[in-house]
Amino acid sequence: MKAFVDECRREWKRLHVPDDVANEMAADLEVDLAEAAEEGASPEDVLGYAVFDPRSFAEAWARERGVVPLAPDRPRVPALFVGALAAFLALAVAGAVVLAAGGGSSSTRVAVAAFGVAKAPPRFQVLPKKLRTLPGGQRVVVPSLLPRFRIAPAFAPRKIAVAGGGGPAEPRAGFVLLAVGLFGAVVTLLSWLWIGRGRRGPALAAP
Amino acid sequence: MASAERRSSQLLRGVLDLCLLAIVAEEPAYGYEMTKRLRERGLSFVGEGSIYPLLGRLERDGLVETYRAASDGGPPRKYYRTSSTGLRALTDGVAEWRAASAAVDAVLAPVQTEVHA
Repeated sequence: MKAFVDECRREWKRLHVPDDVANEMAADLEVDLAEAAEEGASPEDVLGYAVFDPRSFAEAWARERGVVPLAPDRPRVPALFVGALAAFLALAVAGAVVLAAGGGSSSTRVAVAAFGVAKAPPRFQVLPKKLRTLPGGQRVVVPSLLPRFRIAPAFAPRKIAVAGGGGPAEPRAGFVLLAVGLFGAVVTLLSWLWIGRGRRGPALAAP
Repeated sequence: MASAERRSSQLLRGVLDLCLLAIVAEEPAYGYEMTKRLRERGLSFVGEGSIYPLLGRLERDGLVETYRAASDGGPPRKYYRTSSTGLRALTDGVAEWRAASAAVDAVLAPVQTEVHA
């Protein structure tokens, strides 16, 4: 059975199993097979069908024992998780930026407020005259019974929301972005860890 | 016959880890010694994977502990014994096995009666 053990050794070498671990497994296998031979048992009695496929046997043993290093060309992190994590973190950063801008310096807020007032409708507004063009091209004012001015109601807003400014919608949007980004990033990380744990397999499972 | 052997192998696969834990819970043992104890109790085949990969998994998961000791004047052997975590896993696994076994018996018992009648 030396050939079987040698083939196992070659497979462990190929899999970059640490030498001390490979030597230990090979030694255990050799003494077990030798004892079986002394008792008249066949290698198949010890190894089952694995006796016909030493490489698969060696790989299974090393992998189950957890002594096979990850291949260097094998991606450790699935691209999907990296993409999702980056997207959620970008959302969180965007939310933080919006929040910071919303709670900015007083000068910024004054400027925004002034801009908002200038754009707001005035309380008293004179309506334009209604003109009618006669067939000869002459234009006359159309008399009207309605007043030609309008007074805005007292509860009309004096300011309007300005995009990118200190309006009330920005902090809320920033908070939502930040919350969604952080929550998504945490969920992505937890999913990644959970799936990674699942790949290792349950504690008690069939060989 | 081959079909019966395959079914037995598949049945054993699901509980071989429990059998190994039970064997070393009685008394620490090295690899081939476990194979012999299983055979003495009627489990003469261990399937295509043998017990070594499974022992590796039990060791990796901390369900067994290992130590080296001489065996009856022979070379030092790697002995396995059940850890405290392994004992808990064994207790839980045996309970699961008994529940599953009882459920299967409940289904198969009438069939056996008809066969013997």
